[in-house]
Parts: sequence; C-alpha cells; structure tokens
Amino acid sequence: MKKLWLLKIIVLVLILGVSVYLYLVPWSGAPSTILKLRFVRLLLTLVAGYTLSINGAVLQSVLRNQLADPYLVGVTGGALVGFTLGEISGIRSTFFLSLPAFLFSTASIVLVYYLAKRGGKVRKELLVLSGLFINFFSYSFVFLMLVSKREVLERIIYVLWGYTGIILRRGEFIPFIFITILLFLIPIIFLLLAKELDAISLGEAEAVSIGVDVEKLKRWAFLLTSFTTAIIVSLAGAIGFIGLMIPNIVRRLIGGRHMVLLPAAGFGGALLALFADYISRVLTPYELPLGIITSLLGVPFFIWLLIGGGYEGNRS
Amino acid sequence: MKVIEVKDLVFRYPGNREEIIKGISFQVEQGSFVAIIGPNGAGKSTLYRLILKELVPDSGVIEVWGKRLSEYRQKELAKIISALPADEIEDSSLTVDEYLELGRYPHSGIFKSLKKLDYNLIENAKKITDIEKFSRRFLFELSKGELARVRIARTIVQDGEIFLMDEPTAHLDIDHKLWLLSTLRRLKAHLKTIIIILHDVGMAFKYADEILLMDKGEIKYFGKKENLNPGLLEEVFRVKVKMLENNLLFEER
Repeated sequence: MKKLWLLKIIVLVLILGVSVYLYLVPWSGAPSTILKLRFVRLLLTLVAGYTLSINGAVLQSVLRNQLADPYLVGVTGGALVGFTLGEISGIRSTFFLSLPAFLFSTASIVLVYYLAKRGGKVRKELLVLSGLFINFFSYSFVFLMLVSKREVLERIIYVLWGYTGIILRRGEFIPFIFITILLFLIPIIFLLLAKELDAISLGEAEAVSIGVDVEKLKRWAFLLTSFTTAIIVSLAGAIGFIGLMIPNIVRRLIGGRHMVLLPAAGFGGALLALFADYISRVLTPYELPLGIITSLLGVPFFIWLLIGGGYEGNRS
Repeated sequence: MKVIEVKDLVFRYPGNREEIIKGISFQVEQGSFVAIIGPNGAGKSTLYRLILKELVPDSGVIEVWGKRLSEYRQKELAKIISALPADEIEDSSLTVDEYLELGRYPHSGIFKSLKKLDYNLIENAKKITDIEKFSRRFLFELSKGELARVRIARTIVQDGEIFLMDEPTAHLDIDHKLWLLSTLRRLKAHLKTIIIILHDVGMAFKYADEILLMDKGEIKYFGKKENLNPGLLEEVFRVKVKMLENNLLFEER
C-alpha cells in the first residue's frame, strides 16, 4: 500500500508520545500504586481516543456528514443520562454502569437519526442540531440530578467533561483490562465491513445498487458505536471532538477507503487523546478534564470545517 | 425468457394516502431494451426503487428470474441487476479506481480479494467509458459529466444480466448521451436486458425497442415503440407530437 509510510510515522509518534507521557509528566499518588495508576490511565486514554475516533469515522460515513462525531450527534449525551441514572440508582460497578449508558446512547442516535431524516435523506444541518439538543437535554438532566444527589457530585462533574484519571474501585483492575482489550477488538468488525462502509459513504441509493443491505449496516454501525461510546463514557466520561477532528484529517491525508482510514483514525485518535491528557496535566497545577482540552481544540476545527476547510469536498 | 415480472404492484409512501404506484403489471423479456417514460410524478423512480428492493410494495409481487424479490439478498440482487440510481453521489474521498472496485462487491466475499478477471473487467469498463485518464483522481474532483461516465463504468464492472438505470443521461453532454445509448444498445448483443428511465422522450423513442409509458402511477402503454399511438403521448405530456422519419417532434399545444 502506498500510504504505509504515514501509518509508520503515526506509530512512531505514538511510541514517542507514550514514552514522554510515562517519564516526563509529574504524577501524584502513593508510590506503590503509581505504576498501576499510570498504566490504567495510559490505557484508558489510548482506548478512549482510539474508540471515539473510529466511531466518528464510521458515523461520518454512515450518515454522510463530515460533522458527525459521537459527541455532536448526541450518542455521548445519551450515554451520560444513562450513566447518571445508573449512578444515582446505586449501581457502583463501572462496568454495569455502561449498560444503562448503552441503552440511552442507542436511543439517542436512533432519535437523532429519525429527527434528521426527511424524505429518505439525512439532512446534515438537522443531524447536528438534533444532536446538540440531545446534549442540552442531557447536561440539564445531569445537573438536575447533581443537585438532588450531592454524594455523586464529584464523580459526575468529571464525567461531564471527560477524565481518564479515574481510580478504579477494588477488584476492577482485571475486568478493566478485559474491557480495554474488547474495545480494541470491536473495530475489527468495522474492518470486516470496510467495503460496505465505502459504499454507504457514497449515498444510500448508490450503496443499494452496489448490493449493500443498507438498513442492516446502519443498525450494526449505530449499535456498535453506541456500545463502545457508552463504555468510554462510563469509564472516562464525555470526550468530544476527537471523532470529528481525526477522521477528517486522516480522510484528507490518505483518502476514504475504510480498510486504511479506520486503523489510521484509531492511531490518530489515541495520539490526540494522549496529547490532550498531557496538556491537561501540565497546563495548570490542577488537573483539567481531558474533554475540555479536546473541545478547545475541536471547536476551532469545527469552524474551519464549516467555513471552507473542504467541507463537502468541492461540490455542494 | 422472462427476466422481470411485475404483478399488481401497489405502493404508497408511509403516512401518505395517495398511491404512487396503482396496481401495475408487466413483464420484461431477456434481451429487450425498454425505456420507461412519463411526466414528473408518474412513479418511474419509485418503480426503480421497488425493483431494487429499496422500497417494499404494499401489495403485489416482483419476480426476477422467476424468483420473488423477497427471496433475494441485496447482494445477490446486485449480481443480477447493474443499477444506477438518479441520486447524486454524496461527498466521497474514494478514487475512481477504488470506486470501480466496489462494483465487484456483489461478486466478492469478505476474505476474497479481487482476481485477474475482476481487474480485466475494470480495465475494460474504463476503456469503454473513456475514463482511463482520470482513474486515479478522487470522485469529488470530477465534473458532473465525468462522474456520470465513471458511474456508468461501475455498472458495466458490476456485469449484471439486467441494466436498470434511472436517468443515466441527466448530466451528460449530447455526445456522451448518444454514446451511452448506443453502448447500451450494443449490450443487447450479449443478451443483456436494458431498462432505463429517460426524461427525453425523443431519445427514448430513437434508441429503445419498447416503451413503457407511465402516468400518475399507471401504465398507459407498454409494447413496441412502432405501435405507440402519438395521440397517447399528446394526452400524457400535454404537447403536440409529430412523427418525422421515425423521430418524434414536439410542439407546444
């Protein structure tokens, strides 16, 4: 493949980034657990960036909207509502919390999709608008819950903005490793569907004529992206814009074939998350939530996409 | 041999009382060249989407090669029908070559990569449609006319028994319009069946063998073009029609 050098560079930068991350960054915590904490945090940061970026790439293709991102189309917001409901109803296991989160994130994407669909076409502006309103609703709901349930306040405050420094509860280390491996493996299903995703990125009528079962593909894409996003939300919270920025950059660099696009987006997303986490800890003496950094980077990028960074290619 | 048989087909869009297709029946024989014509809103594109399983009829049956449409998986259907929708391609960062490879999707499996035969078909289609010189460009870089030719190349790559096209000439210059229709005529020699929706009634009359005239969800005429009564065209399209050496001429009424 021609563009392999790019992947090599990404891997190299990733390795460099990890090294910098592990050795140069100031850490707090008791010495005996530092390594484990570092490891958990590193793994979570990487898997969050990886998953969210791949999910963004998949949603952009399935919805044919360059502005799609798990955060912007409301998947993350839905997961937050589910997560909060789980938290206040007393679920204390991080992994069981991802179940209500999954339920609500799936509901959100389906709702947003049908709100944005007009006469067989997904309207681009309606999609982002509907996602925005789901997010408004979610954040309002979560704040309402916060007021009535003070004891979960601190945890949820961080979840709202994404924070990979969570401390796992007792006995959660091994399940965490399994979940991480699962999250790294799930996008392989998308790789098996690479041709179908290529086809649907051209439009649904075109995909049907090529022989793709469009409804089935959309169901899978929505379910899998909601599932993995929900897990990320319940582990690390709402991290926006990684899924917007990275796939758009990668698409411009190496083109739209999902067989190459998805792995590259995964690498790039992990890298960006790592970078954002690093910044979040060195920028101020306090730790900032990771999602604040990605939003600060993402919003200018969003604006750039809107005002002519090749939005819609060169045809309208 | 019947390739497509439509029986008592009825369709209305969900939430809409009015039937877009009002109980139509017809059959298409192998090797025929059918042009579907009719004014806007006649139900032509809906019929296209019904045959391609994109829409599900309220009642009635469509059979392809004697098998009901519901028994086909989308991929199996795409092996038989090389279809071209009227919808434009949405923003895409695939190259022309990558797009043409997708045309072999119905004939491939997850772990089966393209073989020599597939690449030969692609090269051949590029030659026929004269798009070799921009085969490495991205789809979004092409002009509408170039893109139209690339999409036609994709249907040729797909190599179905039936070519079903919705307005394939819409963005083509006149020379490519004529080229496309005569190319489709040549496909007849390979026993391919051609069914195209055409806006241009004159073109349809010149190149097709059979005319399927639709109006308001009904079939007004289906059969050899020679037997088509010009009066019927006048009634459906609300124009004056003259026949001049086997060409149709239209005038305002």
